[in-house]
Amino acid sequence: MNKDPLTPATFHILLALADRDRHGYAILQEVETRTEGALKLSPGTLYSNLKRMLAAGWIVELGSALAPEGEAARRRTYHLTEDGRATAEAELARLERLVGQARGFGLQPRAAS
Amino acid sequence: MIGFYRVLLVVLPSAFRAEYGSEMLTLVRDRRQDEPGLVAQLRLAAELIPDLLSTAFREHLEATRRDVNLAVRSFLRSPLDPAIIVLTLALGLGANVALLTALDHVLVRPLPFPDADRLVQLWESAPLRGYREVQPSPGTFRDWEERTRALETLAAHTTTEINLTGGDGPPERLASCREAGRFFTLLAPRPVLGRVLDVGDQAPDATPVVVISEGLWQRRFGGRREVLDATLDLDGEAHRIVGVLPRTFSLPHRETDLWLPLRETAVDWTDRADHFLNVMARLRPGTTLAAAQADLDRVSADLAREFPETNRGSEAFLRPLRDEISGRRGTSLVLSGLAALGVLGIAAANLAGLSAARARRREGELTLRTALGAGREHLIRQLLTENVLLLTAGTALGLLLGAAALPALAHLIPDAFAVDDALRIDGRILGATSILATLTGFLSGWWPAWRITRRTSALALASSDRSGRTRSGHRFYRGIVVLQVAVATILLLGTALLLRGLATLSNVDPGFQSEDVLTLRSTLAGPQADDRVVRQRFYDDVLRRVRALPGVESAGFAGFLPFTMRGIVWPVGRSGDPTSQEAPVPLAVFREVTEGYLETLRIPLLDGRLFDARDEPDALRSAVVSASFARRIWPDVDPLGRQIEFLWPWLEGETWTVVGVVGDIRARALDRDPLPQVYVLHRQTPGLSFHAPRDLAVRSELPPESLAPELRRILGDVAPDQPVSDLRPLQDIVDAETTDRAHQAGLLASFAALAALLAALGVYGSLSLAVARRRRELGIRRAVGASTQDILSRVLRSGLGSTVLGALVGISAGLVLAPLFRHVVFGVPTHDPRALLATGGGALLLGVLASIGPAWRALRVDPVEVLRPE
Repeated sequence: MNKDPLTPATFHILLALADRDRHGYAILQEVETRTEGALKLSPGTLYSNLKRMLAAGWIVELGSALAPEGEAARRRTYHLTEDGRATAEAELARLERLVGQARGFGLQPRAAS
Repeated sequence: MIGFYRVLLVVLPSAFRAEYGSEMLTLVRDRRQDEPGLVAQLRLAAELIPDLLSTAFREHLEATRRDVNLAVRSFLRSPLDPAIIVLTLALGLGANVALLTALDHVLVRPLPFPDADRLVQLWESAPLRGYREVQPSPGTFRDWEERTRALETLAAHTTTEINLTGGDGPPERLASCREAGRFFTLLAPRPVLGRVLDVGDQAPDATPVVVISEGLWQRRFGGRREVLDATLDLDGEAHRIVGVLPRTFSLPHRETDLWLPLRETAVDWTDRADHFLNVMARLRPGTTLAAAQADLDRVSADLAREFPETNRGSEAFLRPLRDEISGRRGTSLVLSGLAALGVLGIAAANLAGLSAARARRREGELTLRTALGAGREHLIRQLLTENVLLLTAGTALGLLLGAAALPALAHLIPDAFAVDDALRIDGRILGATSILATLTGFLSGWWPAWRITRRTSALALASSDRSGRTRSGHRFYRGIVVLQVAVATILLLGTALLLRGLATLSNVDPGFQSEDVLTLRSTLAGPQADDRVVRQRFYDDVLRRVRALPGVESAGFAGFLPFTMRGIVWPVGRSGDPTSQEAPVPLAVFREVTEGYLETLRIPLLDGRLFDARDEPDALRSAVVSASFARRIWPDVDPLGRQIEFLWPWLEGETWTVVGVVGDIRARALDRDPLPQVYVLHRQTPGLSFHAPRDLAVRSELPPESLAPELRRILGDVAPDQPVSDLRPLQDIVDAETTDRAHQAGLLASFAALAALLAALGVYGSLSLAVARRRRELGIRRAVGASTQDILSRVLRSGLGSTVLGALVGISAGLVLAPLFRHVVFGVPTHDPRALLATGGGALLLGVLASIGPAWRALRVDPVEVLRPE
């Protein structure tokens, strides 16, 4: 279980995989849509994060063993594991705690302009 | 755009690129389709390229961190090999760092003076008096000042010792420098306090002033700023302190504490016959040495014409000041530098062997990994990381060792450079060391690693094949071992020769007996010094009291003890005999003494008598000459009763009668050809306060610790304001003659020992490898009944074979090179049999010791285990 806060990129990738498996470009689009353009992942950042999450066991690759050469082979799909889901949820919990503490100080979320 | 991106992917680590490269390309393609238009393209590029670069950077860092971890863990698992590698590198590099620094100072660094490359030192010859090269006279100096066109600033100085009395502190005798001309303009040191001297201070009516050293300032005045304008009593005359010179200014000597002006009136500047000045100058910009020499020759010719009685045939020479200051040290340093490089070479060869052996041991692992798809780049990267780590550790340790060794080399740094300054490793040395280290690392680590990975890649595809390819490698490796032993042997030979030379020098008979003699120096100062009667009274008082001490056998004063003065060599001739102008004028070491001195040093009397009470001040002047002098001047006749003259203008007409002949001593240096000696009695000798006796020698069976305080007391009673200095046994003075050579021999010996150790390791390693490789063969031999002797002789033959070959190569090379360093070795021929024998023996011992381990292991090979099916 990861105790340190996740980077925004990592967190959003986990979120993007929360509802379904996606390949690289789909993750990118999902994150951009969800954050309304605020977070645009570039290929390098995306794949170095994916590599790290793979090593941590938060995601796995769905190999297309029977896929033909060409298009499909170049689009590896990623799937969120139980560990990954737990990590995302732990981060969510951390953020909620943070928000709660802030409200306790009298801060309110300001609407984005 | 796409193509550009694809090309740029190469900055990524190969593993990452292999995994994700095509996906990233696809992604880019998708985005490009989604955002057409030139502006969007440019925006895309601006976003993608920094992303790629930062990702590449992060991934490379990640990979390196992983490799470092792996490397460190592999080192910790088998620490012996890496430790040996680091130590070997450190020793080799450390030695070179220290020597490079010393060499830098002696040969490379410019002197710490402005326009140092134009500074020269001038000498003249005085053939009329038999000198080939001598210090210039005051008259010559003035002539040069007035007449030369090639020199822009001239300076003269003479070194002396001055008594400092009064003020807070005991009287001291200080090394001093009297300067004339533009000494401080030439050298331009920046004073810590106050000012430096200038030409105005040399005027006849100028106030006596002095500039002191920073050391004296701290020692005697506690570094207080009020020292300026304070007065010092120097040789009885009051001098005002006008400046303090920094510790970094150490001309003429590091020990110099006082700089005073040489007054106009203190010297006869028309005197062309008294040779005692040190003359330095700066060439005019753009003037070459040759042009300046030609200019000097012109002036010399003019002077010879105008003043034939003093200058006929006289010439002037100039030499770059740097060469004068570095002196003989250059050669011995180059010698040591070569030795250090040799050590580094052996170390590098060892490292190559070790790295190759390690890599070969991991061949299995590496082959497997290559077969499983690890890219060659990945493997190289890992081996590279290991080598860089070892290299860095070795270099860092080497720099530390080198820095630690520098104080030992401090005595090789010429006086003109302050020692503090020298004991730092500066940026250039660091740079040179890094280059050396990288070269060493490359030759010994990376190149074998690269070859190994190439082999493992090939091996992964083919089936394992051990035989053919390794044989040439084996021969190559043995060749390296032979080379290592050869280099070590050369160094051993050099050391043996130096040690033989040292032993020979130590055995040179100085001509006098130095045991049980205590010496000290004490000079009268001030106006008293010029009165012969006063001086003699001082000697008589002191000697009377000293001789009255119980346990004192004899005592006497002399102008200069043996080995403490290389000069005062005078032209002497037979009196009444018109000295032929063509014959070379005999030169002799001239020493003024009191009674008792010759007896104290036990210089043997061969004929006639020594000085005694018959030699009264106004009686016939007596001289005692050395045997070689008598032989030279009167080859077939008895010298006793004959008369001699010193060929100086101020001594014209004065004669001395020979009353005794004594044995020759080495008066100037142990390793120089001795010149004959002439001794005269102080009380009979006119004027000449500079040559008046100042060194007291006392022969006594009392230990120095008991005698010394007594002597101090006596001198304190007789002359309370006179400093007593250089209180030491005569034996110390004699021993000091061999100190330089002892240091040199010690230095080379350490290198030789290091080289021998490393070469032995090399032999050991090569032999171990050979034994390991031939385990099966050895096992089989054992199984069919080979005896212990048989196995042993095989192994030893292999190990000693390389050693003997290496030793032979080394000795031959050493014999060829040795004549180049002939003058560094004293007194033995370069093919000295004892040295050669010792060297050969040492090399053989090296080989035998190195072979013990592998031989032991070879004997313990179990045939059963070896013959078991693999």
